[in-house]
Amino acid sequence: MTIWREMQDEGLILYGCLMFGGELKRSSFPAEYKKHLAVAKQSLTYIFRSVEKNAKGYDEAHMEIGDNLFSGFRLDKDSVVIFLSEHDANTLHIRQFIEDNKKRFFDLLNDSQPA
Amino acid sequence: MKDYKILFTGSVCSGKTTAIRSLSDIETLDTDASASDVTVRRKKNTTIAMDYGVLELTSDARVHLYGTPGQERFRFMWEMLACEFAHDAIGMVLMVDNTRKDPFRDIRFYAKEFSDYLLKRRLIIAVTHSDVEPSPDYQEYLSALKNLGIMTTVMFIDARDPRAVLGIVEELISAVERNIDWDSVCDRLLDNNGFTLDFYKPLYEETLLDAAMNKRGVLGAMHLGDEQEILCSNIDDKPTKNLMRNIDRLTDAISDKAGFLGKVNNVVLAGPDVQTLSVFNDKSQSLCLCSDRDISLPVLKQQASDLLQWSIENDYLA
Repeated sequence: MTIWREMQDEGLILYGCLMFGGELKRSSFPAEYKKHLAVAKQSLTYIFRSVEKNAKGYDEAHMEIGDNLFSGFRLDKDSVVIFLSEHDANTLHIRQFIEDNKKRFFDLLNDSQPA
Repeated sequence: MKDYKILFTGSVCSGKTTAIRSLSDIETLDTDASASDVTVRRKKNTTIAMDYGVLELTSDARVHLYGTPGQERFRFMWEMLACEFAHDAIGMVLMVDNTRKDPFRDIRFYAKEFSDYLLKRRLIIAVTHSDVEPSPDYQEYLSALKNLGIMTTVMFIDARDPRAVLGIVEELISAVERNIDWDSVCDRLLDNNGFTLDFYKPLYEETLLDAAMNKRGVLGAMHLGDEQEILCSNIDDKPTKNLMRNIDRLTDAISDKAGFLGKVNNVVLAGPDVQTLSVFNDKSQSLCLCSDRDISLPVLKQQASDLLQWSIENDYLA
């Protein structure tokens, strides 16, 4: 089972993607959610850039748009995992899942298979 | 003597105290205090512990009426009322203020807070202030509740009107107490309690900033206008202010360019060792908060929503 599917099954997220150095490396967003993915990538990248310039210690950003929640979690300086969830998703559980599965995300990022 | 109990709950200004006053045959026990936070925008006093009244139905049946405080910071009283004073209530009345930005959010919030309590008793949703804000209407409530999986009775009432509030009691009690002359109870209430129209008197006295600082866990606040200009702020750190204004600018851009998703409601930044930063949007203003990282996101969102709804910018509610 993929990590995305596992998170879906636990009711944490709808879809997710992994970014490295601002580039999309892995994604479970279906084609019909292409626009959602674009908004998530651009907005969370902008937010984390602004954070870098102005503040320290922030590794998590959530943006609620309509009934959607876009969440970004920094895994390290260059890697960010982004999720689309229902607007009332439990962000504490998502955060905990990431902490418990950080290595799996890095493994996925380092996997040579195409995204 | 048969004693029934009904618990009234709902957000600040939804009309709980007024509804109990409209019904009570005794001088109601109010634990009001001068509102010291955002509540002051809507009313002078707010309930801090509970409301209590008694309605005589027949010579051997009466209803004890309990009202929770509306403000979330007095939620310990909600539990005390649900578990002790009104643990054997026949039903709960959720008062929903129709002028709220998202009345359905209030329903979700209170239905969740009282989910265990509602397992064993009826819920009635009493919508107030529909004379000020008619939307959402009855049909919209029914479909929203259906979507939420809540099967219940919805009644649009004026909390000042004993006839309307008595209808709720009748809905709850008539199934178990059949020998009540509701018309004569209603006449008595109208004679004794009357029907006054002095309930809705907003008092605009406090800035949004003062109100924000009275919220649990809020450490700093900044109020932005529609061009990201600072209307007021007590956040001193310039980079933090810049960051929040940048994010507010971004939310405007996304709301414009990605309209298919809807409006950006809020952005929250968090980290393991830092204060939580959040930007909440509402029409042509935004509220930026620095808050304790232990405050949960749902609580933070509810607080910000309350603050923005009753800010000066929304004085159309007056």
